[in-house]
Amino acid sequence: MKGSLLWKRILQYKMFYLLLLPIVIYYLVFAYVPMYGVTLSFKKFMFNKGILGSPWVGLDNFQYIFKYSAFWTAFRNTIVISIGRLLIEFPMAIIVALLLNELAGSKMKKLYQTVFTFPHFLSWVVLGGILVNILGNTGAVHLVLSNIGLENVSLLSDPDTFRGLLYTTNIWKEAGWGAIIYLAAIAGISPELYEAAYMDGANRWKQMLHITWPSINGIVAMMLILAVSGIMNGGFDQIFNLYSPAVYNVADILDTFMYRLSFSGNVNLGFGIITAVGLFKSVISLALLVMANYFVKRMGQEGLM
Amino acid sequence: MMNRKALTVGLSAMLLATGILTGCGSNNGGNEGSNATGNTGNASQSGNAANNGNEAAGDLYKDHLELSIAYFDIASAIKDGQQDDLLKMIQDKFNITIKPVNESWSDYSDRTKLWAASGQLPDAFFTDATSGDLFNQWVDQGIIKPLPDDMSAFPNLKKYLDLPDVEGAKAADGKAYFIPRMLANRNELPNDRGILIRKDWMDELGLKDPTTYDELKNVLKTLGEKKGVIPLTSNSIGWTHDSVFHNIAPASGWWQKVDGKWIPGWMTDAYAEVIEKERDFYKSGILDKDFAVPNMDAEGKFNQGKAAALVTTVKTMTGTLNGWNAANPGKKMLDAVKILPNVPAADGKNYLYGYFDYWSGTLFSSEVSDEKQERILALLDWLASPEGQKTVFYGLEGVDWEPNGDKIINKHEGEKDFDLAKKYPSTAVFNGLSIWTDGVRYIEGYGSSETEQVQKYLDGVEADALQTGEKAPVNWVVNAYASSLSTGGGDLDGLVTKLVMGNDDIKAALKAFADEQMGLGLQDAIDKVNEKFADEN
Repeated sequence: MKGSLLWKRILQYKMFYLLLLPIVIYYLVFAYVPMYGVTLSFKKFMFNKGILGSPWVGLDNFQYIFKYSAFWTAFRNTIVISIGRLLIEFPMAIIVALLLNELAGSKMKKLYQTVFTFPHFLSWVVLGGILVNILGNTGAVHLVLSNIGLENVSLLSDPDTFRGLLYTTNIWKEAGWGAIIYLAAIAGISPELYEAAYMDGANRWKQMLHITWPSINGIVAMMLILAVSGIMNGGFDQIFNLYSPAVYNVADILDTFMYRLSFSGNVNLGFGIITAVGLFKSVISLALLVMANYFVKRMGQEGLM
Repeated sequence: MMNRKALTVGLSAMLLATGILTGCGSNNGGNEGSNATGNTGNASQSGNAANNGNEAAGDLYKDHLELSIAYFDIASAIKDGQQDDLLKMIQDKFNITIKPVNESWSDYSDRTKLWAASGQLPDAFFTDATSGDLFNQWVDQGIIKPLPDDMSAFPNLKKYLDLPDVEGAKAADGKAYFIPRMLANRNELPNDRGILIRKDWMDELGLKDPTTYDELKNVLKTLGEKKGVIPLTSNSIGWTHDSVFHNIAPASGWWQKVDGKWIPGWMTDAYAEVIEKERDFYKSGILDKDFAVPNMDAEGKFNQGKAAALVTTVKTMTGTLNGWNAANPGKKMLDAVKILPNVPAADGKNYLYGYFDYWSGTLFSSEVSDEKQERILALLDWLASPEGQKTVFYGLEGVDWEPNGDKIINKHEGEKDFDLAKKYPSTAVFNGLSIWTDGVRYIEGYGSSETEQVQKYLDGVEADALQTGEKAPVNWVVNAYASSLSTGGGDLDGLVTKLVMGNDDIKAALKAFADEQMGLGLQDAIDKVNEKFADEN
């Protein structure tokens, strides 16, 4: 009985389901079907037998990576850098949105928004080159520092400064873009609320605290869940274009580790082992996503699941 | 570590080849041929192209074959509609059409792996994986086709295949799987690693060639301070071992017998000493602080006068000329720059930098038919012959050069802007497709062009080094075998970079790295090498 009811409803809303269809197909083709590739993490990849035909090796690949110290370095860095991003970079977009919202003239607001958003459209490949030129030891920063008598510092290859550099440059590049979603949420707040608060004597700060913030914190919670689910992605593009062996210890994340050891460089671990790293990473991402969703719900916000 | 080293060997070989080419003169003639990539086989010949080669065609190459070949930038060197008599001559001679499969220096390794994984390998392809894990997998899994057991039909290749270090690189099944791309038919390559230094500045400051590391440090420091520049720039720590500190550990990149046991060179004490010295150079501000920054343009810094000395493949000086002249108009490179002699070893000797006789090779897909493989081998054999070498480096006989005994007379000598690669774009592929060089100089004397003069200087330095230097203390047969084994897969260069820039205990860090590698496969490799070569030295 229940089944036929479902079909009846589907038939009733068939146009909506038709609209949904391309997305379903997209995920099937590009996300679910290729998943058979993860079986490689339990196999020894044979070029002549392909993914399906390669022989099973049980957990050998995992045993190998757990013995490989660079893997643990990458694992630790991924977590540290991502948490750093969550604590330092994540709030920046919200702060930028709140600050932009407080700007008086709409022209200035637009100008700043454009200026802040623009760097998002440059790729890290381009920015990597620019940063190396600016921060390298023949670059502008070095020239200024050495001309005022300070010691030559190489921010790009100094393990103490590299992570700070990652956060700073990423904030510069992405905070403006990230602010857009919050600005949209702020734009949807009814002006009457502000007018009423003003009548009650609330200043700009109080208005922000008691009207703007509660109105956007649902969006913030959702963005936070998404950010947590991405915690195992430390930002491949950025790190890959800026790092070097000198800072592997603090900068090598799982993604750069996998790329380097499967394609570039002088060490090659084979597709099976690298897929094992990838699977390991995905499982942890999933666990984090579920956890974040749980906590957000506990805190009284709507979750994603 | 070997691969990255090797890559630059190859790059430098290419640059060297280009350097030789730019020495030739210019001429717009020889456009008699029709569409260069026309696949009409040996039916269509015209103009001077015919002089060079169709006599061998006949029955031997009866069937026209289409051969897919992967090589760097081959798609721009060989393409439809591009005028190229030399390509036409070669395609006619062997009755083939070359189907280019493109790759670049930055992606060849990825591409080759993907082709292999998806069963799309071209008939013949370039790879530097001529030993080691990946190569062994390809052999085991039947991805690549061995060479015929009898190679006597290809004498120019056979003589290279018979060299001991090439023999030693045969796969576990005892078969040869690649044509070695020869560097020079000897294991010593003194001009592969070295330091270029501003001799004009040294003269100005009254500095003499150093003979100890303290003196070297002093020379570089003085240059840096007085000229306000980086004393020594380098973008490879591996290159820095082999150039600046080579005589401390002349075989650190190779397996050595220590106390009766074969071990990788990085496990020796001398290697730790090199890192110690590098750290000293780094910490005292002599070595460029940015040496590890990706894509750092060390050569650019040197050319632009921002650094007093450069760690490099000195034999590519001819290839550096353009960059130098652009940055220093009116100042001849030879007047301002020289190769700094190595600081001798503790025993007073200068050990030559050594490498296998070859870097990289041509491999064949297992799908390729015997007939096709033989045709490709015939092509490679001809390219490696004196006739082929003259053709790929100097152009077509009668058009671009005339024979002069064993040598040639270059008709373009003195033509300033002549570029063989512009006249015959396919030479950019053919001059490295089979071998990098046979080590023979086919023209008498040196021309008056700057490139020729630099080449003369380089040849002089090399001849002198070969005469006065000691052979590299490396057993090439043992190393050929050892390099085919999996040794754990750790990133040694990364570790060294970290040690040079950091303050960790060097010996302890190397020991910890060795312990980890032992568990990941190095122990097996050491056991195998010692078992097989217990009696070698």
